[in-house]
Amino acid sequence: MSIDAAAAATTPPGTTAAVQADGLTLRYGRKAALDGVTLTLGPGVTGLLGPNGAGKTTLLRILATALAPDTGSLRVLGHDPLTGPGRLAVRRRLGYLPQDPGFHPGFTAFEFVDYVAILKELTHRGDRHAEVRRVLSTVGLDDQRRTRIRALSGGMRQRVALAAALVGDPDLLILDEPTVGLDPQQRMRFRELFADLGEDRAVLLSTHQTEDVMSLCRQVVVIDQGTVRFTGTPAALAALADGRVWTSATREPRALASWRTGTGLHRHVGDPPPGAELLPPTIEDGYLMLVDLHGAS
Amino acid sequence: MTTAVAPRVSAPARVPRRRAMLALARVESVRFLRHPLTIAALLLFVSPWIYDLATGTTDRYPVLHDKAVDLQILGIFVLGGGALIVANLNVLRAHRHHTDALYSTLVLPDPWRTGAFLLAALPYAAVVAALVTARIGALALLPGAAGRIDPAELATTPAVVLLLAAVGVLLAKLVRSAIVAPLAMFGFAVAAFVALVAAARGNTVLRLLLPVMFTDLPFSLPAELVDRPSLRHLAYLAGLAALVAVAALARSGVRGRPLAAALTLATAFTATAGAAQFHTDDALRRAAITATANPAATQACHRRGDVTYCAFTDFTPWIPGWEAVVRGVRRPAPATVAATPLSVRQRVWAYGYPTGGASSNVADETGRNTAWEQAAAAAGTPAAIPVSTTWGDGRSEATFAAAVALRLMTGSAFAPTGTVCGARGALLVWLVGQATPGTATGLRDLDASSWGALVFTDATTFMGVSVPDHDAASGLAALGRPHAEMAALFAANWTELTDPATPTDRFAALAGLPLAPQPSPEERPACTI
Repeated sequence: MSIDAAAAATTPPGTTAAVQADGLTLRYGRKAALDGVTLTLGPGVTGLLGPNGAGKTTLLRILATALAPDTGSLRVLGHDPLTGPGRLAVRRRLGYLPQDPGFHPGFTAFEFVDYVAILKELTHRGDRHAEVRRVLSTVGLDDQRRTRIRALSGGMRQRVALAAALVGDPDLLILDEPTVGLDPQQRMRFRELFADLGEDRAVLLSTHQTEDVMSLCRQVVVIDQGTVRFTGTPAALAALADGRVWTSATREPRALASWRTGTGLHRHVGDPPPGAELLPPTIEDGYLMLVDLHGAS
Repeated sequence: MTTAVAPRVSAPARVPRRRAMLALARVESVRFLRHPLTIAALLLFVSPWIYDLATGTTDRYPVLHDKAVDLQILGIFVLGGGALIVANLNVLRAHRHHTDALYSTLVLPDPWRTGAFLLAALPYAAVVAALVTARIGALALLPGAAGRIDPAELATTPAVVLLLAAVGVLLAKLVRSAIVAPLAMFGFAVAAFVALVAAARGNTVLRLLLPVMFTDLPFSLPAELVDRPSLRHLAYLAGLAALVAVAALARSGVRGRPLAAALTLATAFTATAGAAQFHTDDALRRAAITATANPAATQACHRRGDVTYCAFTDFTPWIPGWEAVVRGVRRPAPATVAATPLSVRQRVWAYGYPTGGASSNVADETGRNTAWEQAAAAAGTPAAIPVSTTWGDGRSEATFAAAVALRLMTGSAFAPTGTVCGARGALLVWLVGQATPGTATGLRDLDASSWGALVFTDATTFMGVSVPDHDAASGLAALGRPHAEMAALFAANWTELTDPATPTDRFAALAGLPLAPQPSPEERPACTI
């Protein structure tokens, strides 16, 4: 699937794309954090993959209105966040969970989310408190509402941050590595929640967990060195490694990636030797092919 | 995790910013009040009262308008310092806890958040105002409360608290470091110390332009003579707070005409109020001159028995205290002496008091004293015993008792530099020490701090009397003997003991005390009374 075709496929005809970015560029000094990023996001969960330092967080911060690009055009939820009124309009309909979200340790979970709700201009006290209870319930923190954040585990804190992002029922959720540090059970719960959330809104999920992308995302975007390398379905990303994953009893030094699996056999990604026993590719194989190929070039 | 069941509340498309700001201010004000530093500051502020209540050392004769100033001085450092640091920490909270990455993407714009942080100090200021009012109100209920309550003075402490809280917000907007606020408070304390020294030296500019106007006289004045532009100073503080708040809002991104208008208005208001403080009130000056030289016109006289007490109108609650001392000094005197009609007149040096290291000379003091005595005589209170505007501490009571004793023994009141020697001196000391528990305490204090002579000087007027140590020692020793026996002895020998020629040895012999070694002639001071 071509990149443009994949992008178009994610936005149902007649609906406004949640995000339309064209040629976004942002430089930190001489280093280009983003270099002409163009993408379109529609409803559902979109995964954002990329190696560390690829520009994922910078892109998310631009979409979340925390940063302004040097050049390029951007529309989020139909508004231009580079203008004052547009930025406010976006912020009213946006939920953002930053990477390494901070907390006020002396606040209770309720107080923290309530504080965020006020900054989202939910001014009616009764309605706001009901909303805070709703989002805390959504993330499964009913019983920890009155617990100070300093007494919560890392996973629970992450849920508090997610609850804060959910305040006001946003139309666009931007989640920057929300499952980092979570145990498998918690990750599974988050996965369920993201799937639910993606049913009626756009969710952009930055992650290193390719399984999450495979199981959740309608669309995946791979970014590397500030440039979008791929936009398409997870299956299309996995398909990039079709015929290029094989197994053998010994290590293959010429492969792009090669490792010994739990079965004692080696799994290789790259150009297979003649007669190799091919394996069905995973999204991780496709991602490795993509990133390594570009890294090699 | 559960599926949401409650109805969702969408972020509103548009709400009045003011409502969001007030909602944030409400939350922040609660956090402000609950902050450990705030609680510690409030506890520290009230701890002297609690201590006084617990130990029974409450000032029973407070001068209300001075007490309000005392509270300001405590308030500026304790409550104001707390407000500055807490306001600063609250603004920096997002930065300190790394939530600014999230908060920077939320709807309420930064200037409105800053407005909320500024407003959040209001409830704290209200608590401070309530505490100050409660404290002064409680003092005003005391039967010995003098002076008047000046609402502007009461409002000064909360105004300073608001000003310093605004400074805390501004500092957080300028420097994202929590260390700056304590440093600023330290700098402020240094400036206040400089102002205190400046006020003591008569520097009006520094005294009036800092948040707290330190008093420049070491004693109380009647309320109508107080030269403190309290209302104008309050307006100046309000202007300063507004100016700092506008600066904080400007730093948060407010621009355009509203900002320029607010800045202009706040600057003009502050400058006008600040300059207005320097306006000299001629009527006040004339009243001070009159009160110093001839206070009869502004005083109320009350007759109690054969003693007339004349006091500035807001000091009349002290008359029972004076009466107790007069009665105590007269009690051991012979009936003929004790029956002498007396008059007591309050005296204050409201105009021309030497501040800033200046000193007055004996000739000036004598002239002023003579004029005062003549005026008192013309007002129907000849040979009036002076009493100052300080009362309730033992020293002032002992000094007043000495003036009463001197009047009984010599028929005249204090002189600028009087020294009473011999048996008269010893008797004066004994009369002072036995009059009331307060005079006994004051006598012990004076004895502990005197060297060469026991000095009873009224710091308000510099009038007083001293008794050389050799003579005072006998009087102090006699206080250790049975009171009734001594009183009878001294009453029976009153004429001899009050004779300037009677030596101390005679007093000692009568009292059954060992003779004290005689000082050498060069060590013996001249006896002027």
